[in-house]
Amino acid sequence: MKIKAIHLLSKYNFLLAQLVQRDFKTRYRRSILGILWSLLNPLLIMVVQYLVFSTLFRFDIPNYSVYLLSGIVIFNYMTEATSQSMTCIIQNASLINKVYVPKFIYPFSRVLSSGVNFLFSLLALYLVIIATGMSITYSHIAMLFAIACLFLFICGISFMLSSIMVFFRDTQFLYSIIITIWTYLTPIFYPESILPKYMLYILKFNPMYHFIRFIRFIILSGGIPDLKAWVFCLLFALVSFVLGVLVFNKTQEKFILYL
Amino acid sequence: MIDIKNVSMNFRLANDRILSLKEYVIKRVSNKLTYKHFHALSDVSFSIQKGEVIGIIGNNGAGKSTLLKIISGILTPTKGNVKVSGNIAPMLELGAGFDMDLTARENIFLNGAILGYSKQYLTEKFSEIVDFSELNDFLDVPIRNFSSGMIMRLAFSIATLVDPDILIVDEILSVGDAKFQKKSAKRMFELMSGGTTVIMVSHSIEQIRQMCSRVIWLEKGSIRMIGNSIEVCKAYLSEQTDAPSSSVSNNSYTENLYSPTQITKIDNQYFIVDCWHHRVIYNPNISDSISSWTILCDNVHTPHSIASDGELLILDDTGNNAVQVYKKKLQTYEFSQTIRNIGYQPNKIIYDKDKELFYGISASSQQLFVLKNNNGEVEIDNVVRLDYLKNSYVRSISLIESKLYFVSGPGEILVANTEDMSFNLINKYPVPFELQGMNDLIKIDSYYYISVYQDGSGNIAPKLVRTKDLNLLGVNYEDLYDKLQMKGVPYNFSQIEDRVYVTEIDSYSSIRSFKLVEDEIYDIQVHYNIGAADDTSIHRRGYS
Repeated sequence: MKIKAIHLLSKYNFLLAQLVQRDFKTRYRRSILGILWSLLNPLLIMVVQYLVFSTLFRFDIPNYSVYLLSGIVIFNYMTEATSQSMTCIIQNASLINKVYVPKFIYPFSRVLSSGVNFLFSLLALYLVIIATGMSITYSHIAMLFAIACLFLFICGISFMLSSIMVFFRDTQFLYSIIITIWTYLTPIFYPESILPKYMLYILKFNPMYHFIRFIRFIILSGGIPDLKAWVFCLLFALVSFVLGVLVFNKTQEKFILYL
Repeated sequence: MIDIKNVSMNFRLANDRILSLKEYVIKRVSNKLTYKHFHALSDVSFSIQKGEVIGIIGNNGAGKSTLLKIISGILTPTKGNVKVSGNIAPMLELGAGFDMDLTARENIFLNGAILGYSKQYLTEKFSEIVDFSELNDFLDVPIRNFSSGMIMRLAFSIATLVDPDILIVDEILSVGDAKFQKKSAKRMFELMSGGTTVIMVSHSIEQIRQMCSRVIWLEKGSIRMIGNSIEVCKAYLSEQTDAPSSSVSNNSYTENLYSPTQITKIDNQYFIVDCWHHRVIYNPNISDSISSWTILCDNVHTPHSIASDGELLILDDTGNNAVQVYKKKLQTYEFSQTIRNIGYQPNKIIYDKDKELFYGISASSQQLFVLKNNNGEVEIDNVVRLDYLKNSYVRSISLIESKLYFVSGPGEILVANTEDMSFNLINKYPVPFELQGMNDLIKIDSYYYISVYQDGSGNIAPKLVRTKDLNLLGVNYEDLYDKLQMKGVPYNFSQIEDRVYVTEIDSYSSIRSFKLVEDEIYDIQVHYNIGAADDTSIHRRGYS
């Protein structure tokens, strides 16, 4: 299974590269600022939210701008990649009807192209980190682990959503509601300390909370998170990924009947 | 190459197509969810060899698309085995696999990647693809600004220029303008003769019959008939047009000719190649009615010419990419051999008395084949692809003063050397646009006579002209079309005894002849004045 997947990836890596390039080129092709948008977008959101919320939480959170931006960048990657992947199978219906290409390529390429975007946002984050005079320590290497886990988690969700979407076209409306709720249930712009105790308990089941917390801990305190944080990240990533692959594999043969 | 064994495909489809979660939950709860089972294919088996051109016909819902999808691996059959070796290139419908925001250059790579080709391979083929699609000037323009014809040209070029092992064509598209259509048809022929396996689905039976070597007729998910394209198409058509065709009297086409492409005299018999009736007939006398002529064969596919060395008759079987050999037996002729592997659409065969060899030309693959009578058995002496013919459709060859003349296809009359059998190019005569689609060329006395089907862009524009010097063709020639009272398309010339015969084809079928005395035309006669084809002839040809 693992060997087969690697074999497929090497066989289709040119296609994958082409699809990612396509997504990336078409996104900014007709805009003057082009790729700069990937940098500017999270920064602008941060500025707006900063202006609104900084008066509310200023005294609770040191380096509020970095706190805010790190949350936005990570959460945005998740929402963007999953919403893009959700529609990819139905958007490529005409191709899927004609050419045999392993279908996971389609959502996977969307996660990758959003990932490129995510890297630019990360760049913006680091600019802000440097601008605010925070130090960058060796512990930042541990970020790679969190990003890898985040990537797996997003792949899983994307596989699931893209296959469910084929059968139920109203999934996207449902999902946009879920995303809104999810945004508020994740401490992106507020500190978790303002939540009541039972909410903190619920928060433990929110995977995005763990990824964001892991990364924030590294950036804000410059230390390495404790073992529990590592385990949680890995656990959520694997559960999502395995579930996503299972759902996608089980349903992909039926896609064509519903396209 | 492709092996399909006992393949069945069942679908379970909800009676209502439910595409929303809300509906699904409501139906589920109220128990209104019913499914029906649908057998798209049941127990289908066949195999396809490398290089075959297979047509799939059948009514809507017969399972054609399902079968194509199973072959290309998009659908997995419920039961049975599918074995396919080689890469498959589907001809994508307009725009599928293209991104409108990307340029033509970027789309070539994207589309190529989707079809499964590597970057290196596409880089190699890139300029070829661009040249063929004639989009050199628009390479860096986003294709959203292209016309649909331009996009289709690009799609066609990508699908066909990468030399796929298996090409799947779902409804042949008429791509671009008349000129490009001609070019793309030629490319298809090239692929087919170059060993690409082609599987095509079309509602145009005529196209299928012309292009395919074998046809699969699907009916309600099973194979109704499989075999030779003429037979299957005939059976299919006769079922389709059951009611109207039975009202027409039987076999009356045998009383007529339909596009006779050649008349010749062998021994004491006149032979007529009755091309669009798919038969060859003979008779000792040219004044008897056609229905009394003897049938040499009527199982061939659009034959064009026949040649003899006195012992054997060799006849091109254009539609089946073969030649048929007949042997003289007392007063009749007996079938003896089928020769294949001589190229695509052999269109003309001639006999060289001096060398005791037969020459033939395969019109679509530009191959010259040389056949030899070895004690009553025909052997292939040589098959050579002539690069100087480029990709043009060369209908005919003539032997004039021991040199081989190729009539205009590539915009020139080309002359090759037969002395050392090298067929090296020794001369060429440029041909003006209006004469480029030539049928035949013959030299009688001091004139070269030329019959023309189409002009240089493929539009039918019949002509019959003569000139004393082929070098002057671009400057001046004498037009004989009206003088001979032609109404259709002049095709083949033959000199039989003291008369010159011209066959007339397509919109008006007839055979005319005249006498030449010191280059003056006398005594014009019409031997079989058939005119436009009637229903039985059209039906025999295969039009639906």
